[in-house]
Amino acid sequence: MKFKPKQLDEDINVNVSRGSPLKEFFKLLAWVVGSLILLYLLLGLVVTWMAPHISPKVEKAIGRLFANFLCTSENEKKSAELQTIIDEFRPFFTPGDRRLTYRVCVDSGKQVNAIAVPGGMMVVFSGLLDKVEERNEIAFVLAHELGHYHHRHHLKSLGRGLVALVLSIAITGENSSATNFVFNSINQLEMKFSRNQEKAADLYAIDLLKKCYGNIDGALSFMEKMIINETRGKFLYYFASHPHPKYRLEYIKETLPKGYL
Amino acid sequence: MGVLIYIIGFFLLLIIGYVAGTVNEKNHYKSIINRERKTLELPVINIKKTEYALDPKRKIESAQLVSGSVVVSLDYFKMISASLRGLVGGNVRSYETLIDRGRREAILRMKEVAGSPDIIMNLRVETSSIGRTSSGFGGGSVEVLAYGTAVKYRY
Repeated sequence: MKFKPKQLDEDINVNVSRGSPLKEFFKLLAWVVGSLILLYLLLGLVVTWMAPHISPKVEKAIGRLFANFLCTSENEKKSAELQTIIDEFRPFFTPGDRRLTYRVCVDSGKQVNAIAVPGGMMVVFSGLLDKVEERNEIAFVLAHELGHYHHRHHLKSLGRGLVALVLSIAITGENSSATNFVFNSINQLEMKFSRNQEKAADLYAIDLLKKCYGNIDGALSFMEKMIINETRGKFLYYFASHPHPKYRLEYIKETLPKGYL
Repeated sequence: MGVLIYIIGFFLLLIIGYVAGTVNEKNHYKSIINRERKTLELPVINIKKTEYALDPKRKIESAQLVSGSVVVSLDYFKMISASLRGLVGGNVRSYETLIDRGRREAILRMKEVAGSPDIIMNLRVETSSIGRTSSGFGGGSVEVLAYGTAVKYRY
């Protein structure tokens, strides 16, 4: 039998699937990204539905996880001072508000911010207290954070971040750079709430101040101070995690009866 | 800012990987096809029984083990593409071209090192991956080894 070499067909390679690698890549990317977005949105809806049903016991347990690395250098004297404001608000809490025990912890950090941590701990940084001198202005800040608790914003926002983290761990693994990136993002406990959530917290705060003190002077002076200082950049950090103070002042004023100002 | 740099870096690597990888692959296939054409007359079979592989009428002058190997790597673009494919399933085209090129190159190198035998019989091809990460989708290098017995007849 004489050997007859087979002529090679250079156009057909049966070992390689047909099609363009670039088209295949974009098709796969669209599938995967689309599925992840859909899953994330669906789980976000589930979490939003679940947040009001999370028991205070579970919420406190979640809070304890964060309490370990928040408010590590407490100014106890200042914390006690601000706690008295919460005590003044307490008679005006709704039954839902009473499910948690609220504790104010003033941290010596220089950030101009306040955080509502799941479980009822409110962390107020000294940096914010340095800018806000009047007691009724501090009262507005605390009432605003209580507004987030009232609407369960802190749980809803944390829940979405946890969903992203769980997805990342399931797909890329616990030690992947993608997982680290997601964890660092949700670990920013400034809790970047949506505009609507911030508005709802402001309106709750206004209502609480009206009931407790009969006026909202603290809120108005706080907002006006923020507007003035924002142009100078002093409140830039706090401003970045909340809507523009002019916008906030507008909808606060909308809630006031005619002739109030 | 760090996130932005990370994302830009990722897409830059993708683009570099795609362009360099595509050029590399095209050139490699060109070279493979050229050399296959030149060595077409040398039969390479995987039959191991001499009564089927060799001409019984001819005397054997020499028979020796010959081998050729190559390590081929994926580019970054193909690696990401393969990772995405790993999520949804189906043909992993990136690895198909890698393995195909690897096998053909290894066989060609085996033929080149064999010199001018009359036939290479009992061909075996072995593949192993190199530098895989714990996730299973990283690394992307493959070593292909082709070996057989090169037989030269006396006349």
